[in-house]
Order: sequence, then C-alpha cells, then structure tokens
Amino acid sequence: MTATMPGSPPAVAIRRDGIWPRVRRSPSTLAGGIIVAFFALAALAAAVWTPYDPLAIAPSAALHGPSWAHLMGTDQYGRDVLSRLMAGTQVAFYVGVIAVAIAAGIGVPAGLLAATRGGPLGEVVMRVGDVIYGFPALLAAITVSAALGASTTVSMIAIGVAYIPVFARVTRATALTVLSSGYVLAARAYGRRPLGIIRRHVLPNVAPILIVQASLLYAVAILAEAGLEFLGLGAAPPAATWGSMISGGRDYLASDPMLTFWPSLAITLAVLGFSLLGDGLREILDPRLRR
Amino acid sequence: MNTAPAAGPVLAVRDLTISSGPVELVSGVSFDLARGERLGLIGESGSGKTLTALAAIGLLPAGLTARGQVLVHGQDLFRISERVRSALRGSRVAMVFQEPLSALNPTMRVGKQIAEACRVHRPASASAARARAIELLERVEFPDPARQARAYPHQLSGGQRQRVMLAMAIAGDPDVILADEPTTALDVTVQQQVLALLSRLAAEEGSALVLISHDLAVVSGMCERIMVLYGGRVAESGPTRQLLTAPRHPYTAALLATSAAVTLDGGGETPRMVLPVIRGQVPAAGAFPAGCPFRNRCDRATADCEQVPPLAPAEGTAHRVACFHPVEEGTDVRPAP
Repeated sequence: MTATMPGSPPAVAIRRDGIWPRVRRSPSTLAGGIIVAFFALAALAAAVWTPYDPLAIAPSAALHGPSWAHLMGTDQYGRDVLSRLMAGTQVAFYVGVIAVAIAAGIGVPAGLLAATRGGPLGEVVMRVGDVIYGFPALLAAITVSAALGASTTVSMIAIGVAYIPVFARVTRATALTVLSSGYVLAARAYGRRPLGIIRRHVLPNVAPILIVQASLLYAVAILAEAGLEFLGLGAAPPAATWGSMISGGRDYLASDPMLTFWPSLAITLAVLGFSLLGDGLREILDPRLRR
Repeated sequence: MNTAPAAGPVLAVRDLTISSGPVELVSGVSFDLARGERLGLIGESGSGKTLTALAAIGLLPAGLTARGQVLVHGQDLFRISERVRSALRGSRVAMVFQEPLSALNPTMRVGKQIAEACRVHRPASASAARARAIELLERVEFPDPARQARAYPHQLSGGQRQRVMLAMAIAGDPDVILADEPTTALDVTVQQQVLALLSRLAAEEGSALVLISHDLAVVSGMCERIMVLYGGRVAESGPTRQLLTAPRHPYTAALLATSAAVTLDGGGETPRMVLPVIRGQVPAAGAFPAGCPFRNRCDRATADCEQVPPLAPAEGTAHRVACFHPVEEGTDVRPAP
C-alpha cells in the first residue's frame, strides 16, 4: 500500500474483491450451495436424459425394489422412481422461479416506490402489503387452486403474491437507508437524477438482500408445492412431482416405505439446502449483519 | 439587476432566508461571487453556513422552506424545475462535503465513482470515463492512479478520500465549488495538503470557491473575502485583510481573540497563559435572542440591540458590519478574563 498514510487505520479485514473467500469460510453457505448445486445439476440432467421415461408405466415391473436396472426401484405402476425424482427436481426449481419472479417482480418496484415517494402513496403501498402479509400463504394458494382449478403454476403465483410484501419491505428498508446516506447526497450534488441514483446506488445495495430472500422463498415454494400436491391441488396425476410421489406412495407405506422415503428425502434436502444457502448468504451479504 | 451571464456573478445569493416551520435558521443572507473569486464563510455550528451552501446548490433537506433568490448564472434555483437544477449541479456548482467517508459509496471502487461523476454531464463510454477518472486521480495527486482507482473508499486514508471528492467535484468543470468544512474530518498534517490542492484546482479550473469553515486561519489563508455568520445572520463581511486586522463586529473580534488560542497574561508575578473564551454558548437553532442574535453574549449590547442591526458599510464600501456598537479600530478585543 504505497499510498496509505502512515498511522492510518489498517484496511478492514473484509475483502470486497469478491464473495468467494467469505463463502469458503461459511460452512452453511458452502453446504447449502453444494446441495442446491446438486439438485440444479439433477434438474438440468433430467431435461436431456432420465434413466427411463418418468411417465411410462410398466405394470409387469410394479413395486420392484432397488436393483441395478432401477436404482431406487419402481412404483405401483412400474414407473422408475429415480427418473420421477429427477423430473420432480425440475418442477421444484420451476415453482421457485415463479414464486420469486412474482414476489420480486412486484415487491421490488413497490418497495422502491414506497421509499422514494413516501407520503400517502408510500403508506398505501405498504399497508396493502400488510394486508397481503396477514393472509396465510398456503391458504391463499389452496383458495386460488380451488377457484381456478388445480395447477402448479397458479398455486405458485399465489405463493409468490403472498411474498410480495416481504420483498417490498426489505427493498424499502434498504432503499431508505441508502437514500439518506451521504453518498446519495454527494451523487445529487454532482447532478445525478433520481432514477440514476436508484440504478447506481440503491439497487446494488438491495440485490444481495434479494438473493437471500429469493433463496429462502425457494425453500418455502418447494415445501408449499409438495403440500398442495399431496392434497391433490397441484399438477394433474401422471405428472412427476415430489409431492405427488409422496401422495402416491402413501398407500404402500407399510409394504414399500422407500416409495415415500425418496421424495421425502429430496424435499427435505432441497428445503434444507435452500435455507442453509439463504441464511449463509444473509450472514455474508446483508449489510445489517456485516461487521 | 440581471446582467449578462458572462459578466455577472457566477453565483448570487439574495436575501436568502431558510426556515423550519416558524423558526428562521438563516435570515437575509446575501452575497455575490464573481468568476474565480474566493469567499470564506465563517461560523460556529448552527450559524447557518452549511444550510446556505446546500441552498446554493439546491439541495436543502426536505421540510425546510427557503425564500429569496439563489442565482446561478442568472437562473434562480428556486424558480426552475428539479430537472434543470440537477443539470446545473456538478456542471455549474459543485460541492465538497465535510465527511469524505460517508460521501463515498462504500461498495463502489473510487475510480468508478469518479467516472460516474464524469458521465453525468458528458455521456461517454465506460472506458473513456474510466480513463478520465484515472486522469482526475492523477490531478488530485494520487501517485499510482490506475491502481488506486480500483481501491474501495475504506482502503484509502482520510486525505486520499477527500482528494477523491475533489476529483469528483471538478469532474463537471464547475464555475463554483462549495467546500463545506473540507478538512474538518482530517488530521491536521493532512489539512494543509488538501487545502493547497483545493486552492490549486480551483485556480486551474477558474472556479470560484466558497470555503466554509469554523476556522478563521483556514479561511484567511485562501480567501480574499470573508463573511462571518452568527445565528443565521451575516454579522460582518469584507476583504480578508480588513476583517482580520480591523474587525468591527464584537463577535468577529472575539473569534479572532479566541483563535489566537493563548495570550500572555502579564499581570501576575509569573506569566501564565489565558485561553480567551466567548461568554455563554451558541444557543440552539431558534433560541437566539430577537434583534441582534449575539446580544446575549456581547459585552457591548444595549437596549438598542433588541432591534436587528442592519448590515451597513463600515469604513470603505466592501467592509460591512451588522452592529449598533461596532468595535472601534485599535481596541483590545479580548473579553475580560
């Protein structure tokens, strides 16, 4: 540091050159990241190849135990459990994408609006958010599914809508902090206009927190989808989803518990992975927890 | 009297009054700034000097109301749209803040922040703006600008950060630089260096300078004209030399006495140091006495002072003082121990 003044405080230990050094030192982020990456790979693989057609039934091969031909065995219709698990992984990511897209796509602009406008409009936006927040997400999804017909997409839109206030709140809180900072005043003093300030200063500060929230919402969405599916409020029966696999395996719990075990394990692991990743990233990225 | 922009003052503040509800924080401040001229604004905290500067760049905090005029090249900041105002900021009037650490975005490399300031008024490609940022860092005396442009604010020293702020201030070639206590947050050893740089940059850019400080010594070394604010009013203004050698307002005189810091008291058997003080404390905003705001701390105050003293010419024309009982030339201005 040729230019550092003698006697000036040493540079803060946090390296801002990248988050990788900090990720490596955070076990939960690392574990969550590995689990999520594993499922992501499985979902990608399923897009091009599964051992068998996950929907193809083979009554002659029904309820086979694990074998080299069927690593996780077959279900009551002779469908390959591993193939169905892989296909279900795609659904799990799909539901997360929809829920996050809805929650962030509406929540972030609403939060920014509330932070920049303030006044009555900002109040109205946040109070509407409170009303939505007060309504149980899963109940909303069930109601919407009952009204519009069972569909994974529709129920995930409902989950996404329920999480709009969460995204709006974190966006607003961060935006308010940033907007009252000295560097925003300085940016205004050199002529930056409000939209430029949001783009250059507010959004980069909001982004890490949104990544955290998105990761946590993924976990919620996967769990919600499985629950709705179990209740018969998701995709139509032949579709391969984790929830429908549990629901289908329920009748064989005594004789073939593994049919229920594998999708349950997948759900547990995926939710754990996204939660660990979200919490770990929060510790790393959230300025409110940053030391 | 709106003269042609080329010949007229680059910044003219006319009868600026800033209030928060019923409380006047700044009352009737006026000054003109010619091209390249340097004005020092002196005052304690609460004297309204920072608010005056913020008003001059059109960035008064929400909730305050301003009356009067702030003319930037003849355009009244209070009468134009925010869009036009933001076009003037940076390109006509720039500001350097007191705390360089909080005025820099901690998550953005300093080179990028300077490039940002460059691109606001002159759209340029990212690489061109980056090149200009490095050029500006070199102008503010960074020995290795290309490498230091990649530093984050926390990796720089206080003096370096303030020099980054200076680079951002001159990025838009402003006609006026408002420097609000630019060295208060810095080590004494670095203060001179930053002030010298500010002085040199303003000269090179041909920018007028408003240097705000509570430190008479800082201002007197750099500015040809000084304006002393007290309680939101102009107490005294005039050419630096006149103001320092023959202060007429009791407050200016007291300030001068205190900034001498120590005086020798020869009365006792062993000489001892006396630290002159101004009696009482600066009242909170809105708690200044009616009439002359200084009268409750002034030894010369009489019943006359319950009226607001007009800012009237002292001797000559440029030197003006707002006092009914100005200090006569040659008086010992030290307050009684």
